[in-house]
Amino acid sequence: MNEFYKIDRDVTLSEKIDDDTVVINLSTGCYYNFNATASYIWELACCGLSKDEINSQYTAAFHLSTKKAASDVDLVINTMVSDSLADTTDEKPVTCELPTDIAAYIVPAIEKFDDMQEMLLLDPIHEVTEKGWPYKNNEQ
Amino acid sequence: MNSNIITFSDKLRKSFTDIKLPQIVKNIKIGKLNIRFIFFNHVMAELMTRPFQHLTSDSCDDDICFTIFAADGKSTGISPGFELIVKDGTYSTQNQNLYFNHGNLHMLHNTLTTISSLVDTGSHEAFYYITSLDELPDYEKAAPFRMIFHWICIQYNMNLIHGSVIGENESGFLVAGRGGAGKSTISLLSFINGGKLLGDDYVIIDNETCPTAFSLYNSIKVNPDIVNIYPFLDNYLANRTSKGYDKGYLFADEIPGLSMSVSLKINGIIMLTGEKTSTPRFNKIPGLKALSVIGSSTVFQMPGINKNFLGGITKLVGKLDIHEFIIGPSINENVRLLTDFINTTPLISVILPVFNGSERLTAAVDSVLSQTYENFELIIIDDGSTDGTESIVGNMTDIRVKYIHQTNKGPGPARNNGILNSSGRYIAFLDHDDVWFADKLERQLSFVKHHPEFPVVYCNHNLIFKGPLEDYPWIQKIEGEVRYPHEIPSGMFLDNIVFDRVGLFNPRYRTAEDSDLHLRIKDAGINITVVDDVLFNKHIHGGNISQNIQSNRHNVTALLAESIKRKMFAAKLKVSVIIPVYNPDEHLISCIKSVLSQTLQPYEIIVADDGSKNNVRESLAEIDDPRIKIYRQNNKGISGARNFGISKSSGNILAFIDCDDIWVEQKLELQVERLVMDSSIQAVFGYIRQFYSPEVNMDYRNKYCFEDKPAKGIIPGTLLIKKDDFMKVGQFNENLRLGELFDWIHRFKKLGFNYAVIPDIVMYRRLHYNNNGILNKKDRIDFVKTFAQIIKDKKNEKV
Repeated sequence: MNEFYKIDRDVTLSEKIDDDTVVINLSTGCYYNFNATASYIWELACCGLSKDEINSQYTAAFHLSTKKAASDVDLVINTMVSDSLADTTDEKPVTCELPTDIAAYIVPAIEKFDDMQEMLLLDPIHEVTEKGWPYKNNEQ
Repeated sequence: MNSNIITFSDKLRKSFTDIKLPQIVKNIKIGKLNIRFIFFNHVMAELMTRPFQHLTSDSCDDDICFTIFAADGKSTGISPGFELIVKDGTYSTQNQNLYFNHGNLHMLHNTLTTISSLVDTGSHEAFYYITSLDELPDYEKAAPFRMIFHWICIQYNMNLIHGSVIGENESGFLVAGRGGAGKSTISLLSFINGGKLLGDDYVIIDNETCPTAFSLYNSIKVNPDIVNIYPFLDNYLANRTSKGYDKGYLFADEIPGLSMSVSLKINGIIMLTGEKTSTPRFNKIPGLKALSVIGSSTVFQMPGINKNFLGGITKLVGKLDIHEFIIGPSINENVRLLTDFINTTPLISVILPVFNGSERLTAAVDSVLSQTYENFELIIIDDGSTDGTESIVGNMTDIRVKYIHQTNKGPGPARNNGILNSSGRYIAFLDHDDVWFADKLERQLSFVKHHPEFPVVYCNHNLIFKGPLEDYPWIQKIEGEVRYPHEIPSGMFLDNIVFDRVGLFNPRYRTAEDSDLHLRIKDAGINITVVDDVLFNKHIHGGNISQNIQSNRHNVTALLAESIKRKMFAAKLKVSVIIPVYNPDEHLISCIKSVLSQTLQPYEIIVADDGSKNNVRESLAEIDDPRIKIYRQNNKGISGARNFGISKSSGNILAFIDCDDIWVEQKLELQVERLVMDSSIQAVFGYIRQFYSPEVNMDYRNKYCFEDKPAKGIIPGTLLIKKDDFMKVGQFNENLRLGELFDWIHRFKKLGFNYAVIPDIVMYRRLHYNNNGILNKKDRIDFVKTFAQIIKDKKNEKV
């Protein structure tokens, strides 16, 4: 079965910073650092590629054996799904431009942190707008 | 007269059978009673079965099944001929009720509301009529069919009683008192604070065997004052849109995490007299007083009740102890005392740390397991033993024994580990080389239950020396008499709440850690006493840690120095409260009032105006307090405003609150005590509860849901820190529009600082149109960048 990945952007925040990607799961309160290679797989998944397509793209990018590439991709994808950073789907999501910056190969690694969980689980944000903090909805 | 009553009853019954509309059937079960409701109008069916939702049943096929027909005249066209009974019934001018009890027929007709209830206990049928649903009063929506249930209950040796039932585990107490005595308030508070609630205002008591209470309605009356204390309750008011109500009501099952109990055994009656005193207390009182109050208040609520009712109440009161509860001024203290009172199965956690003490461990454990008071858990903390302790404990079959292994850290951290894993309301410690007497827990528990003003209790002990006394030069002897302190862990018995106030054992002290804790408890002004009985044997042998004289002396000196420092700091305590504002509205007034009503008063309130377009000073004109200082700067964002406020502060403790939130009145007192007493922490947070600001509409409420229960609030509004320590960490990062506290906490932890989160709710966080998450893309990037920096720092630390 050709599996795609869907990221709920209301719950999962991510940003590529230098070569790594930092991912925050607001529903579990954990945050992650994807190293450059893991980051590449994350980006391919975010771009709407299926698992087979990610495997092919990844194999070609780093000139790896199919077996090694599949094992690397599995490692990253499994964490993404098991930690609810992404959901699997049969429907192809909207695609975006594939990443072109590819760093040198290193073994993909994801570091998980839960030391800010207490804070992240409670929506900590008081949004500030021109209207002040807080403002009343005049329509009411 | 009788013929008129029978004619009226027949006519009413016939008018219901003539209704041609489809029937809507709903079934409920209350103990042995099965009730079938038959309605002819969907709105009425939904409205009037809402309070019974927790009793819903699939069918009504059992032997005892009563059918209640309910209809309104407007939608069904029926119109009973009340004129038939006007001259034959008994008229009560008080509520303008007309009622009669004749053979199997019982009837009450309220001439104001037009509600009529007729019960035929012979045919097991009842009829409920109202002219129009528009006339249905709020109290009828919260507790419908009261009179009908009264007559049904009488038939089955049950009583519908005006009162609440609250409890713990499987048993409870009937809370009685005249209207306005505070039954609903105290019951609701007990419920919110973890107790069980079976019913508020009306409950059914089955007198057949041991008295058992059954729930009837899942509605709770809410006094408007309660909403001021617990603003989140406003979210659940079922009649929140009604104007001019003096009491609201809500449905228990709408408050997340709370569900009403269906039945509880009744252990006693708690009477509320409405009397108040400075120190709340319980007094045992004679049954006659309860009989009169329950009887008269129930009759008042349900005029026309059957004379058999009083027989049932007399029987109930005769079987139970009656306790008068005279409440005090502090709601928290009242609830705590009540919780203690109704908790019939207190649990004690016994914490036994052991490090290579297998030789003596079995005797210590046996002395715990053979206690006359049996409802405890024994937590053995193996502090990294290498002498087979684990297998010795592994062979223990008593299910009360729990085993936790940790790497060797010393007795203080081992006991802390036990406390953190404990579930008991009370904590007792036992060193592995000491032995308790069999009644040790019973005696100390009994003492604290009767003297809750002493949450810490020690006891006396025998000293048992291995070998001659001369082998122990560190033992103090005055005029030949051995002196050894009472205040040692094996004799200590305390309320778990003490640790929330002063913190755990300080891990810095490997010896004298018990003296440090004792001193902190004393410095906090917590009452300590000694039960004047010898309740354990203290064994002095070659392996006692306390014989390490050098370390002991050093630590005792250090902890005394800390105590002096604490007292000096407490004497010159000045709390500066920083409130950043930007175009604030009237929520700021509520916010500042909550700060000014603190039990520990702030030294100053710094309103840091971040370039508001409105006049902040003018908007605060109604509050005249010289401690409020308003400073203005050009707009820099919330972190910049907080930093600006800090720069203007002159206190030695900083606390923060956002201008839309509300503090609980004991917030500062609880947090300052913990900060001052617990030298292992540098900052204190607390729990929060969120609530929808009254102005937000249903669309918002549906879109932005939250789990409505106390949540750990690691947010600026709960932060309390010494100013010196804050300055060591540094200011909030003004470049971050979001995530500034994550960045700050990260820097705080980098210094080796720790924070505590006290378990009390310290703040109510207002949810309104403007704080619903990360909306702006740029802010989201900033937020993630904060974490990238944290990760980078972590990596650098590793290197």
